[in-house]
Amino acid sequence: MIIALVGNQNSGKTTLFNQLTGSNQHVGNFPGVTVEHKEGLLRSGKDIKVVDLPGIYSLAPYSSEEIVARDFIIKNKPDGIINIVDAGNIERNLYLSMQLIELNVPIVIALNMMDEVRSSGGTIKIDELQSKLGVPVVPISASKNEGVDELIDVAIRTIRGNKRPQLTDYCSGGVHRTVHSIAFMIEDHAERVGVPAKFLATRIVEGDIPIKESLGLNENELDMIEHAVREMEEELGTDRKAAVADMRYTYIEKVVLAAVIKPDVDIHRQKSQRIDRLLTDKYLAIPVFLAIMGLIFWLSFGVIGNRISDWLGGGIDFIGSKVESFLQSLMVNHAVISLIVDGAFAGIGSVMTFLPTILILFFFLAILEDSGYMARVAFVMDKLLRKIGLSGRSFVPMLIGFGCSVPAIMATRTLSSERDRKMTIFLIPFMSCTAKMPIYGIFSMAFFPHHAALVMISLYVLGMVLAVLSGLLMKSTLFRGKPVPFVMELPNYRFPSLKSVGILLWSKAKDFIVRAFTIIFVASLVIWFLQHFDITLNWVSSDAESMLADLGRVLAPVFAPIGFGNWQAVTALLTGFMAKEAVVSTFAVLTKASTADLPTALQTFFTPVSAYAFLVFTLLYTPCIAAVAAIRRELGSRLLAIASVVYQTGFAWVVAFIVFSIGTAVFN
Amino acid sequence: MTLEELEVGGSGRIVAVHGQGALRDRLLDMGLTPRTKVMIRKTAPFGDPIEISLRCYELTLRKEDAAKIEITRDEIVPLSCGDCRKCMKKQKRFGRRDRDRE
Repeated sequence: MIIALVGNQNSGKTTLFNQLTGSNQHVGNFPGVTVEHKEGLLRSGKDIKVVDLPGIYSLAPYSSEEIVARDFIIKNKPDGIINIVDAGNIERNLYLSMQLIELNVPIVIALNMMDEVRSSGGTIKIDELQSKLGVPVVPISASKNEGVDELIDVAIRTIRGNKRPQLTDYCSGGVHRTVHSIAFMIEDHAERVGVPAKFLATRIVEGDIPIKESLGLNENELDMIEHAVREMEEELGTDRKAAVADMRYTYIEKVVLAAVIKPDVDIHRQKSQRIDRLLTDKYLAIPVFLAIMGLIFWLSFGVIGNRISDWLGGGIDFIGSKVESFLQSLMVNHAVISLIVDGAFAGIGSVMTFLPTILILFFFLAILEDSGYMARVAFVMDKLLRKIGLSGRSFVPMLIGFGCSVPAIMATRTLSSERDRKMTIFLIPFMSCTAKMPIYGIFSMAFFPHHAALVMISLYVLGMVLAVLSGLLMKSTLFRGKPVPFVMELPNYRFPSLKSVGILLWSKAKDFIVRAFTIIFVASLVIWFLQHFDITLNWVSSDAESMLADLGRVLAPVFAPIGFGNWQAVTALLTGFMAKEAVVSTFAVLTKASTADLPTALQTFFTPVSAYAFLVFTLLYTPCIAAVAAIRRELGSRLLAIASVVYQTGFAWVVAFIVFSIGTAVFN
Repeated sequence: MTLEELEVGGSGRIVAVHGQGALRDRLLDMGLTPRTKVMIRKTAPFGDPIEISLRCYELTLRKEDAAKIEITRDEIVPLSCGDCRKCMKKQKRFGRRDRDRE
């Protein structure tokens, strides 16, 4: 048995899903499209699968997520629907419920956040609501796990008993007549596709073209339908879409009037407005936002994250050295030891040390998201992002990009438009991630000891400026399509559910570890192999004879015009593809210099001008393999991932060339 | 007049949502249907978009889109903002149950 969990965004759907399934959940793809959804087994019934659909406001298709949700409901025909409704925002939430009821499948309404309504002094007459809507209604509080057992009981009974909604007719006036006459007309077609004729008729009246086409109506029928709808429009003096929306809301108002006793003052809403007086204040919004983000980054990358990462790195190094001495004591071939220690351990280790930082960053971001603050950030920043053809919603992922591109790319899932999502993902690599910090640090020490801060800031700013330019370029070329209008709910602030945050962190950690042991593992072994063998597959005594060096030499001429045509620099850039901090470690290995001597050793490869060009290049060139893998996964396209690599690298070369040319002209 | 022309704190009733396509559908689905009461709550720090209240919730939309929403301004006393002490007292005195709809 399959139950679809359907509801508005911010209605507590994910929290309820977590309560319904516990940890019995996994992420899957919808058949045919690579839009992820979560599904899980009901905690009290092994054979019942719950599918968590994207949050939607209506069954009319706008964003790709909504099309997916609608298609799942209509085409995959779940056995029943649990429709989660925010009791505090019941009018708008019931709009989707009305559409779901029209589908005529077993449905139960989970009236969420009843605790909030009660604590404000309001109440909802459940019996009245049930009889007016013709479906079972169960009051719950998903965050407190109240009423969830009863909801499961009622849902199973309703669906097993195949109880359809009792509400047969709620439409009124001109729309009513038109819906009925069209339903009569398309009855045969509806029976063939197995969808209630009245639902289809309502959607056709509304102007849902894909539905109309899927029925395979003949010309004559289409004409008659169009005629009927035109007549209705004339009679009502409004158009079809507005007429149907108005009809639904008119009925909802009647239901709400009868069943809902609203509190004098909704204290939760009022509290939100108070908080917003500070957080979206005309003058304070930006400073407060900067302070919050600063604190989060400081905690994630500085205080907590760094420390745990250091411990983890130390631990991995320690295990690595133990393994090394153990293998040496067994007299294992030195090539095998090198493979395990320098290849596998070093490679996976360098990436795994980022896990704590990423999880801590995600923890804070999940809290910001669940509390409702992200919606405010989008509200505040929309005007700025519009200039490059995006909307306020893209701001948050880009911000995360300063930490690490991988979680940033994953965070674009919240964007409703595919176009915005692609463009945002393409722009994220311009935000200088923390893995590049060691490179900037070492090079500043070597070449610009007195202007280190200036060099760093200039690189961050350069990245942002180029992101804006790149955005403008993309807006007028690749992504010329219409930006999605920015219409977004500003939900009440809520205390985030720790259980939901916990489950999210666990799935992120799992994701990351799996990736480290698959992609990163293989990549590490490849680099190790290239670094230790020559073209005839003989073990090399020095790296200079290795395939990696050969490869570096082949590619070196490409980099000569931008100031660093030596194979060591090229090799460092190549390994930097694995992880950006590997650029520094590669230089360390190739120069055989200790950490303290590295800056001096670097001076043999670069002049200050070419060093800066090198920094600009590392700032901009291809995202690391983990980020590229994330791009591939999120966009579901290998081609776009490759496009991102090529675009970034090409862009980096051009900018580094300009910097090097100007620098040479000025300083030489 | 249009929703865009309404001042912050002002309220009115929707007459019609003009324009076409996805945006209009979305606005209608979000409850901006004729006769619905709306109030402008605030403007974003950079002057756009705006935050409005309707049907007991808050929605943000851009000014250019608000310009497509035709309204009639409420000539009666502006709706209480609902969060200052003065308004709360007034609400108690007049026993007003619902700030957004009558």
